[in-house]
Amino acid sequence: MRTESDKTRFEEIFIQYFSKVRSFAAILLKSEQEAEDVAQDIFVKLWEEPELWEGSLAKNYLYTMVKNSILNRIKRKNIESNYINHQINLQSSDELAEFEDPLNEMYREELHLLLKVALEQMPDKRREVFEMSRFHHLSNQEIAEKLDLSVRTVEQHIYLVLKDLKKLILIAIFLMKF
Amino acid sequence: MENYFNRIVELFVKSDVSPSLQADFYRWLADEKFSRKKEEALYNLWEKMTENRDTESDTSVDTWRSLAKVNKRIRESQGNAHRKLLRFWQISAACLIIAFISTLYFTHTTKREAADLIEQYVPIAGMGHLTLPDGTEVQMNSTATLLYPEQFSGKNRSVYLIGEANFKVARNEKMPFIVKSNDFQVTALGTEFNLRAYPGDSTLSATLLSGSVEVKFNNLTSAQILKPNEQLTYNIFTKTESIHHPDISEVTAWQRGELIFKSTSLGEIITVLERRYPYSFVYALSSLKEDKYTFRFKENTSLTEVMDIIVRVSGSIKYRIEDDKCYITSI
Repeated sequence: MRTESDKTRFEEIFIQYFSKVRSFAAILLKSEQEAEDVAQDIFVKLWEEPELWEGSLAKNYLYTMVKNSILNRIKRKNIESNYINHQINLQSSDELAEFEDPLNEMYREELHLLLKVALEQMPDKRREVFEMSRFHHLSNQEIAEKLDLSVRTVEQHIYLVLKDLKKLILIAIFLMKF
Repeated sequence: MENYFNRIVELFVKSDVSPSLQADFYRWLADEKFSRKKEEALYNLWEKMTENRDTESDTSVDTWRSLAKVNKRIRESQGNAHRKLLRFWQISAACLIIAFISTLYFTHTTKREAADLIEQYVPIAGMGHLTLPDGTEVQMNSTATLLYPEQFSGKNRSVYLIGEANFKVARNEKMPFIVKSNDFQVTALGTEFNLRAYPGDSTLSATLLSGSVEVKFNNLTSAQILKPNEQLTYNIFTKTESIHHPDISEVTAWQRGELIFKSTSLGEIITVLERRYPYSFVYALSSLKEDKYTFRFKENTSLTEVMDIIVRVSGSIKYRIEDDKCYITSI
């Protein structure tokens, strides 16, 4: 049985960290409901461990707990999503050779994933043009006709994508060296 | 130190991503290769998330609501220390169904011992009416659950309510009628009252329409006798109660299918709409202002009509409905 002061202490920790734990889970799991479940489970467990309520102990414990339950959920999702292929698939990665970093062959997978995430964040039209050009091997002329754009615009879109991606990767590569 | 790993994680969490990218990211993250670097990236992300240093003022309704749920789960697990089964009410309700089915099975073959529990559940967007074995009439609001015995026996008539319902209790002075819920217990002889105790709501309320009832709350340590037309509201966070004299037609509006909000925040309004309409609402509570609104909608108002009006009045949000989801975003 816990005393009133235990309760107050627990509530303080709850108010300080709950939204941090929940938001951390939410942005990674991309689901508010799952994040809420994860966060509640963790705090119910924390109640059982009063010796962990002090200062940085609580914070570290919460981080370990939330990270582990997110990873567990992700592993379960991976099994459910039933993927046979374990490689990050950029439709045809050869086409992106222009971005390969010869010094970082070991981070090939990371590089491809980074490109894919970065591409998704670009404006729809720009990404569409780029994918038609690099993945579907259409000429700029063909893309222009399909999308009812001028060839000049298509070139401009591709140029901007390349510039953004190169900048992103250069920064990442540059900083990795340190 | 910035690197590929941090960049990938940062970009992934920044916005919505396609399901295929999400799957790629998850496989990458769970993969053992460079797991230390991936963990570092996760830790850096964690460090960047803000904490709530300033207690009380900054704390959102969401957090209080979650605290109440966690406290409830802690209480339940303590109450059943020897049987850890009963952790959520959902699970406990599920267990009761199983228990009910198995007792049914056994009582058909052996003689009846304890009374069998029956569970009545009203789905989202529904409303239910039933007559209990003693003749008590119960009108149940959406998502409410009522557990009651097939036959009342013993000194009193006890039922268990999760959600909101209106009771017209059949008169029986010898056997008081008791409605138990989360933190509330209402004892009545012959009377009509409305009890609202949804899990997750910050307040519980009991309203007496006629007769007399005794309401117990705060772990049954406090009690209050209500007179007709009185409403007792109990805040489970502040553990304070107050007596009001509400407009009875508003309290019972839900039974006629009407929707009434009196100086209610958008967050609370959405909570009610979630029970009333078969849509899941997608929104960030933090994006909703705390302004209070008063609305009154007639029965059978569609969600589109309700949302159109709320959007126009509030001026701070917009919405769109796709399939069974209602997305609400601030402007």
